[in-house]
Amino acid sequence: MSPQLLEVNNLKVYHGTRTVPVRAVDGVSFAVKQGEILGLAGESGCGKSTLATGILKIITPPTYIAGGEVLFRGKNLLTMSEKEIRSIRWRHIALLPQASMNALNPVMKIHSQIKDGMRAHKVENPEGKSENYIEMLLRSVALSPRVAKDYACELSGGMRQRAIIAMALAVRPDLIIADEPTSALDVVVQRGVLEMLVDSKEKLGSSVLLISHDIAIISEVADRLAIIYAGKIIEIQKIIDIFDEPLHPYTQGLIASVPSLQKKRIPKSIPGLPPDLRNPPAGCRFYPRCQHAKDVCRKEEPELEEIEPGKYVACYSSS
Amino acid sequence: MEVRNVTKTFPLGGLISRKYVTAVENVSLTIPENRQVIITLAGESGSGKTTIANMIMGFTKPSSGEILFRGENIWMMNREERRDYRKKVQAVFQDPFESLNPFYRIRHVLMGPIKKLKLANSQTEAIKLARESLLDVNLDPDEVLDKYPHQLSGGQRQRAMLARVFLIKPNLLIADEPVSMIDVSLRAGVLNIIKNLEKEYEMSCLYVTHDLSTAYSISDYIMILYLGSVMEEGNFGTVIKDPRHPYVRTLIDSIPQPNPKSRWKGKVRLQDIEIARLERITGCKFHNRCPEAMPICSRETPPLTDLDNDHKAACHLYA
Repeated sequence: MSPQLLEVNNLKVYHGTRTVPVRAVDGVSFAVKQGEILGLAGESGCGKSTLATGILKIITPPTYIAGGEVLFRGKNLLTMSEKEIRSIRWRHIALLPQASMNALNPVMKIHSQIKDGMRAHKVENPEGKSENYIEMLLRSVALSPRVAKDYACELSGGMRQRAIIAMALAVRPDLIIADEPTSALDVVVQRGVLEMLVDSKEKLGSSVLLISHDIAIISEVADRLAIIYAGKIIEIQKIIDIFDEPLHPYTQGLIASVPSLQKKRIPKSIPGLPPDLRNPPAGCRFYPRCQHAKDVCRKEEPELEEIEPGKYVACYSSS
Repeated sequence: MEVRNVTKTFPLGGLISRKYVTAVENVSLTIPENRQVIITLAGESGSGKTTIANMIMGFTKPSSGEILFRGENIWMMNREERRDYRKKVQAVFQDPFESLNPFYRIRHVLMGPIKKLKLANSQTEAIKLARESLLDVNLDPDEVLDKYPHQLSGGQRQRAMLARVFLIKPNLLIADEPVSMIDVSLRAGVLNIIKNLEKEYEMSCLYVTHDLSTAYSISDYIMILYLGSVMEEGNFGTVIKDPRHPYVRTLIDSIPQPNPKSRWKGKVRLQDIEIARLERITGCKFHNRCPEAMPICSRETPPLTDLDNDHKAACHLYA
């Protein structure tokens, strides 16, 4: 029995266009273990949000799965029937999409939506009366219990985002895929929400796939960190290791570009821009921006390899 | 520039409604004449920082208090003085897309001020000036001049806006979240330009943001707002290392740092944060969330008190 809760193997998710497809996720492989928080970091256009929806097959044309598999407890989600995968979504794997604030029914009261979700996914309320449970959930995302009686359209964007998080946690999923869960939230609320995700790991044993462009928030809560660049995973390490010794030049550049209150300096930039994924280069996708580039990098794309136990990198310079 | 005891209230509801929200309350700040500074005006959503920036720009009028430029109240200036003021105080905003006409190439964006301010005597000279201004912001004129805004990256657009600002040569730049829409690994360019304003252009900058980590990299003085009032201000390094106001302490403690060996300690207790912003809070704006609140805090607004050199806090603990 695989110890991995979620195993993504060579997943490809493309966006069709009139000409060539945009290869947004182009052969991504990684695993999320039971009871861990895996951070997935990348910048604009790296494919992280497409990955989030692709994993649960919540994609609409022109986006399509172009290959690979997504194993949840050993079963491939991509080959399941719609009925089967629906029983997995939300109950076992909850997705907190970007701009979650728009996922709520604007004309439904909050408590109804939470109860609805729980009922639909047959979640038993362990605390007894659902009113108390809902109150507790709302408090845990810093919402007043009064909010339960509000319509979603009456809440601010930040409040709606927190309500969605409360709803996802109400169902006690095995895996939470959180795509930029704290964008547009104030700093202290952000910390509270992230601590909630840590709580769900420590107290409920849930795993979290935390997707963000913000390396700082990932470093505060994640156990491991995977870096995605131009549709590919280029490094995965334990969180302390990756900060101590980032292996891939892009990872090094990314970490050097994050400002810190502990050291006053203007962070560095990575020169250049990511490639156009309609026409990705033949070799390494980071080649044009890489200071350590060699000839082989231009010709042949490096594979993601486990160079030491737990350390994965796709780079000729570090292998 | 002197912002003197400025308050701004906005009316709510219809014609006969007596309700109003106080966006800014009794805020004062000074930008000195003969030396260049980068002052950070920091705060989260609803703090009033953008309203203050708008009042300095003259977009909206204070309800009480004054905005003085070289001793003159900007709302008492005649048309010519106003026009001169608009040249001396320029702004860059978060989304350069909003400030750029999508139908015009960058060439047009730069030629505008060159022609209007009669900065060149001939077309040839004008183009030379435009090209130089782009080089000043590390943009390749051959690459950028004939492009439309959507053909540039976020960072390039902001730098084009800064090139335009430098042609106008204001005394003060108001930068409202200038890098928040740019990928972290691509921000250094814009930050370096703003940092060099002091030395190369003899310009001061009011840096308006919620992102303290980024601001700290270029700014030496910070003023932190909460719900329209100043909570704490002073030398940036001092405020970071020794925050005195309870709000500021929790805020700084909760800013995520890219250092997995030194994570958040303890848990932040999220009390009911989403207080109705429409409710008028008597006394200190933070008292209902403050762990150290005393009875006086709900009755009287704390004065901004001097703590040490260059460090002030508005809190009854120190009054």
